[in-house]
Parts: sequence; C-alpha cells; structure tokens
Amino acid sequence: MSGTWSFDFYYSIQFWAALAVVAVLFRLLGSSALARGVLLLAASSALLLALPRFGPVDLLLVWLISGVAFAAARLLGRGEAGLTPRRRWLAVGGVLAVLAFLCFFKYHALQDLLMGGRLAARAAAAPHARYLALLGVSYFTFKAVHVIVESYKGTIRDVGGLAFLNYMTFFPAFISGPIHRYPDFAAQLAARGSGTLGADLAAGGERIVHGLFKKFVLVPIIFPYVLTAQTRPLSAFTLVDAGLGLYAYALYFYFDFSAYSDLAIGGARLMGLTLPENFNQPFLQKNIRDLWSNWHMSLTGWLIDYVYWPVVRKLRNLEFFRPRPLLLSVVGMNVTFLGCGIWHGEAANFILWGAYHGLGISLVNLYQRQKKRIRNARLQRYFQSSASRALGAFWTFNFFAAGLALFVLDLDQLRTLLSAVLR
Amino acid sequence: MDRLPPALLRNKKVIMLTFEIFWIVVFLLDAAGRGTGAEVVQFVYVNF
Repeated sequence: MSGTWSFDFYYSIQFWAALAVVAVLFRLLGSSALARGVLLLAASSALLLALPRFGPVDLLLVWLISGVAFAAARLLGRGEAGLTPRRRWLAVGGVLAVLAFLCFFKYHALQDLLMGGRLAARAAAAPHARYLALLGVSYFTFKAVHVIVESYKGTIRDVGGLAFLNYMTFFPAFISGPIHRYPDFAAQLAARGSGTLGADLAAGGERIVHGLFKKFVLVPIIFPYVLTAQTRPLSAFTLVDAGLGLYAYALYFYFDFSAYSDLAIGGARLMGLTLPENFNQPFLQKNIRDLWSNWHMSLTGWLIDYVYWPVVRKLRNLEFFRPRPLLLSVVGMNVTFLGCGIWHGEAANFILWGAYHGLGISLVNLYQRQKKRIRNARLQRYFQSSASRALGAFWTFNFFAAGLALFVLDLDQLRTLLSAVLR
Repeated sequence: MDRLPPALLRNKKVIMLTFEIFWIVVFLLDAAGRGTGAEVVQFVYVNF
C-alpha cells in the first residue's frame, strides 16, 4: 500500500471519490446485510491503509485487539446470565487487556520501560519516529471497552463478528470519533439504512459542507492567532496577548474538532448510517458542566457511563458517602476528569487540566445547590433571565479558554507565560 | 423590503449553504494559487 494509494481523510479528492464509490455500492447492496458488511469492512480496511501514518501492521493490531474484545464479549454473551464472579473476572480481564493496549501506545514512558533499547535504535534511524503510535487508538479501544462492559451487563447479546469488526474499523469515525455505540450501529448495518436516498444525500451533504466550511475557511482564519501558533516567545506575551491567544485556541479547537465530527457524521449519512452528535453549541452553555455535556458529547457520555457511574456506584456502598450525595457526585466527577486528563497524556499539565475541570464542575454543582436555597424573588427572576444566561456563557467560555493553557503548554512553558503576564 | 425577513427565513438553509460553499471555493482557490493546498492545519485531536 504505497505510491498513489496514500491520502489523508476529509481533505483529499481521493478520499471523497472513494467515499462516493463506497456509498453507492453500499446502497446498491441494500437487500443483503452480509454483502453490505463485507463491503464496508473491505472499504474501511482499504481506506485506513491509505492514511499516511497507518500501515498493514497497524491494521493487524486493530484486528488483534478487536479479536480480544470480541472473544470477551462473546464469552460474556453466552453461558450463564447475571453478574456472576466468573463473568465479572472475564469482563475485568477483557477491559484490562484493552486498556493495557491503549496505555502502551499512548504513554511513552511505558514504551521506554518495556522496549527502551529498541526505541533507541529506532530513534537513531528516524529521530521523529522514536515512539510507536497507532492512529485512532483511543477511539477504537473506548468502543471495545463499551462492548465488553455492556456484554457483561447483558445489554449487548450475541455480538456478530462482522458487525463488530465493522464497528471497530468504521472509517468515517476511525480517526476522531464520534465514539458511537455498538447496538445502534449493528442495528443500522443489519437494516436497510436510516432513510431515503434523497434525504440521506441532503442531510449528509449539508453536514459535509458545514464541516468543510469550518475546516477550510474558519480554521485558517483563526489559526494564526492561536497561542501556540505565534512565533514570538511566551516570555514576550502580555495578559491581553495570552488571553486573545487562548480565546483563539478555544475557537480553533471547537471549529476544527467539530468540523471532523460534521464530516464523519455527513460521510456516514451518505451511506445511510447515522452517527451520534458530538457538539451542540458548547460555547453558548451557561456553566462548565453544561459545556461538557455539549462538547465532545460521545466522549463525555462514555466517561459518564464507564468511569463516573462505576466510581459513584462503588463509593455509594460506603457508609461515609450514603448521607452525602453531593460529595459523592463531586468525588465521582473529580475522578472522572482526572481520568480524562490522564487519558490525554502522561504529562503533569494534562493531570492539572483534568483536575481544573473536575474542580470547576464541582463548584458549579455546589453553586447550583446554594442557588436553589435563595428565597429572594428578584434574584430568582435574575437567575432565569437571558442576562444571567449570557453572563454565565461568557464566564464559562473564559474558564474553558483559560484551562486550555494547561492543555497546550507544559509546566515550564506555563511558568514562563505566567511570569510574563504577571510582570 | 417588508417581505425580506420571511423570505430569508424560509430560504435560510439554501442561503447558508451557498455562503459556505462560496467561501470554501474562494479559500481553496486561494490556497491552490499560493501553492499551499497541502498545508491544511493538522487537527490536534487526531493524535489523542
């Protein structure tokens, strides 16, 4: 797979031509679920191999971890019912195997620990390729965890091999989500599609145009103002420069990421498949909790289902937490966002970023509780007003943008920026 | 002019899409003209 069969998704003519061919063939095979499944798997495999940073070994690795997750899900789906210890250990084993796979590709310290010598030899040959990377690894491993856990809970039964492999490698959502759910995807794959050809073409085409507009028009306009895209050193930044750089970063981040979601959702829709929404006007939300409910929604939903609720359910059994539901939710939210931070990277700044958002949401929860206790009618009217909502959205955007400094700068850079702006 | 807002509202989707497509074409032609077509700003989140 070399030579001309190499192109990035979404901003190459070859990709769109390939997507059009796949969509037409997929629709022509409307009456046969098996034929559609085989076609989609072949198309996803071929298109993933076209990605510049994705080779046959990478595809085999995706299939390998898919095989592990599939085996766990099948074993959980068969045999005895209920949350028995044997089934629990099987689910834990499957999830740990998938998470170990994710951690290996995400955390360079782990790669150094396990294969330092070989990495040094790699680095000598190609300094930029010291560490092993696997494109889309978070997205498909999160999907695998979802299927294993839901098979354990009994909400997913009889996972199909072809449907599962298609779910794991579904090319429109492979590199940046949305992190869709298996039951919905498998049902759509088995059925003829979500709507008529005209409706799918119109809806898919519209989303694709929105995505391309964000990617090719808005992002290039905003990008030069982004904090990390500027050529002057951080030590030369004033508070206003840093603020504007972070505002620009927040907008760039939103337009770029939501553009990918638009393109993935639109591309899938051309085939008659519906992916979940990933963004819903996050910067118009009145607090940081609502922002997170509307930002990268498929990830937030995954974190709530597979981190927040398991933690809260576990802690709820403790005597200490039983009379303290608010504290329980605060602890659950902080653990979830610390996990989210650590998932983003092993560096300290990501952990701080996770703690920052966990703390922010906790403060919102505390504030909301206090707000309900206020008996002053005038204040209550203000809380319901559009002015209060606008002010909330303004502060929320500022909170989110300020937090991006923790997301994009390491601790040394943060120190430099802080001493420059506080000078 | 009195009838303009309802007409705009009725055709909001078409107007929006036309606006977007127009600027996509302008920006792509501009990038192609400057020979920077391949230098699309790479997405930050793909690497996660």
